[in-house]
Amino acid sequence: MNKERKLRRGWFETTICYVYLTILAIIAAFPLVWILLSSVKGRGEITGNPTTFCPKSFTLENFKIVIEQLISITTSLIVSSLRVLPLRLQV
Amino acid sequence: MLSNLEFIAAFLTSIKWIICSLISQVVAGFTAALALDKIKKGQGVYRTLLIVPWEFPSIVIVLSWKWILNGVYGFLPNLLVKLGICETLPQFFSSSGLVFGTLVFINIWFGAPLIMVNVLSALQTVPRDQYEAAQIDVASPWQSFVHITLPHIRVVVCLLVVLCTIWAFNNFDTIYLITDGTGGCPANLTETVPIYTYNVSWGLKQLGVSSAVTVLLLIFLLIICVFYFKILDKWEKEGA
Repeated sequence: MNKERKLRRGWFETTICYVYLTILAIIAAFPLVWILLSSVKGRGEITGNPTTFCPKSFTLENFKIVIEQLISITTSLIVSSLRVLPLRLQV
Repeated sequence: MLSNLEFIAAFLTSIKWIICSLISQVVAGFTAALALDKIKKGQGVYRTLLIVPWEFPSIVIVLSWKWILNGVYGFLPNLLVKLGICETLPQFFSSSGLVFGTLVFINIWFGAPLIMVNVLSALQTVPRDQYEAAQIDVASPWQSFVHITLPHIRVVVCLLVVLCTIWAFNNFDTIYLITDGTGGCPANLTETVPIYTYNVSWGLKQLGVSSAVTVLLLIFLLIICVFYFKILDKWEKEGA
């Protein structure tokens, strides 16, 4: 009898823990999910009123722009490191 | 300078800011750590999800929250209206009753994960056989928490409190970026001392005054730290 009650209380406590942690996890991860979803939203959807949670049209246009910029940065990185590397080796 | 009303107002705002964010950060982090320690399945998943906010750079925090809580097309205000909780769109950044709470919430959201992880690792060092002994002696969960758990982790918690006090007091970027550097949208409501210093030095170009404020800030933080470390010293001597 006593053992059964103890078991039931343990189950109850665990459930409360899971519910609490789930709420916290939703709050904690929400902005990340939001940013991820927004990055694939189509043109004008981000600032649309009311804002949608799930993107209506899927696009990778934004990623394309960023990666193109990244490539130009990479070029300058390569150039600058090639310029610096011999100096480093001399020391 | 000490008779300067604006400085006193900023100082009081800072104190309010520290107390609110510190207490709620510690409570949120501590309860999350206790809950995480209790569960067995999916501990890793929850820990990973809950540590996410700590990995955000502050500009991304500000950008995403400003966007989510935006007063016109933000997701959360629109959701609240749709659910019927609010009648009009709540203005999280410009209504005088909400802006401070919003800032504190963002600070909790950012700061609690660190406390959670540290307290969790401290909780896992508590020897399990002491709990078993307590169970044999029919101690209530509350008793075993107060007499076994707390003495083991209080040094870690105290150190975290010191760190969080300093971080909360020195917090400049989040508040400044969210309130667009105006020191609080309605009537300097969220102008803490660091923002006051910045506004005085680069807005009003009174570099002397702002230097004096900074020195006072340093002294204030030093006093707090000395106070905390005295307590820590005492506890460590008791533990030894």
